[in-house]
Amino acid sequence: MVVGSLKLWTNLVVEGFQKSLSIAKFLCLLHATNAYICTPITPYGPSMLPTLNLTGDLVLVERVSTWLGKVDRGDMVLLRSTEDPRKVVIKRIMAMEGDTVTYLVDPKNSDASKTCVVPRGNIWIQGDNIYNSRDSRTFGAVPYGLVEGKLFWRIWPLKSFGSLHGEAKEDS
Amino acid sequence: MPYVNFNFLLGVIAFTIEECQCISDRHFLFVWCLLLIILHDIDGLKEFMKFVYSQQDFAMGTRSLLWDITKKYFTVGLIGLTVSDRYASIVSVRGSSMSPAFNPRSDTNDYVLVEKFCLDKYRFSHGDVVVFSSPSNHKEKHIKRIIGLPGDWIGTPNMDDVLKVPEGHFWVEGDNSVSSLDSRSFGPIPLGLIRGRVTHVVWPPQRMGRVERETNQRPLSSLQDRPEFY
Repeated sequence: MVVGSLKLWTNLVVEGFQKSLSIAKFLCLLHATNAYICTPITPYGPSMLPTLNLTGDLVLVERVSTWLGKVDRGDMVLLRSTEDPRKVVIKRIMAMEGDTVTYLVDPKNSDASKTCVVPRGNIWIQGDNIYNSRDSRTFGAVPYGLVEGKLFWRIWPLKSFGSLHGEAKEDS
Repeated sequence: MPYVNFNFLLGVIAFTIEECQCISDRHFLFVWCLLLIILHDIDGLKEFMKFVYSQQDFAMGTRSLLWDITKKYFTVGLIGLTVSDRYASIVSVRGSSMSPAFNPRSDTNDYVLVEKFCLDKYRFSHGDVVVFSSPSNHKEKHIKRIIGLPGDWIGTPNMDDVLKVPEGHFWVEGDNSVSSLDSRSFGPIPLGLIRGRVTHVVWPPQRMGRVERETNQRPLSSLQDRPEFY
């Protein structure tokens, strides 16, 4: 009697262990795909306005070109904010290391422009909506290590379903 | 200080131990093969495979066995990757910029435990030792001690002025200020570049233990509440 119930319990424990192991495996696979291949995000905010809507878009971010170092001028990237590390922001890369950028300091009120050189290992990011965007014009070039992925495919809204590469803007 | 990821090797060792428990001839052969691959001993591998295929009945069942083993390695690698990304990993420390905390003697490398839980909230305190990717080269990782957090005032011995650490940034310095490339040369660093916090030394065994938080190094950071002096 006692031996029989012990056997039952052992079986139950073994089965439970195997089940949880397979769930853990699935979660690990999910993490690896999200962190190293691609992940969906829902961008929000006015800074990329003509390209991405204020809210309600669903776009895919791929991670492969980030860790291969294939991110280049004109790409839209997801990056960790320099001002608040708990946030991620989407901006467009305007210049890579060693480039010279000229930008309008305050496009709303004046035509004053500034020129500077992007330091080694850094990138220059700007929002498409230059009137309402906090980007490199306020805090300068940012390290490449902050980039977390490149936007490459739009899923929602359905009528603009497709690649995001063709929409690259001419940089200044 | 650059560092290398050590988890892959650990996973392989763990798996090999597990394999050896159910040691049959074929399993042993495959483990041996993989070891040769890992050690980049291509000539040895060729010889070995020639020997293996000259044995008669070996070709049977090889494919499914190979598939099994690949699957197992894949799973172990996946779990190792997830754990090292989200929870903790072990890295080796190179260079002498953090001595005497790490690498007090320059001929050996220390291995340290890096926890990743701090990346949820990005909450750090003065004196924490952190791993971060270099602001000038994203492929390099450095290990340094946090001296200043957002809002602190930092004064450096070689510069006479005092500067404020901006919002979302931190100021790092190596313990060994003579041979350390840190915020004194590249300025404050965004918190988003932090990849983890060093909590323990795990190797060599005689120095195993917690990494101390040293906060008394820079008294000037206590001036953060009264900047009007400057």
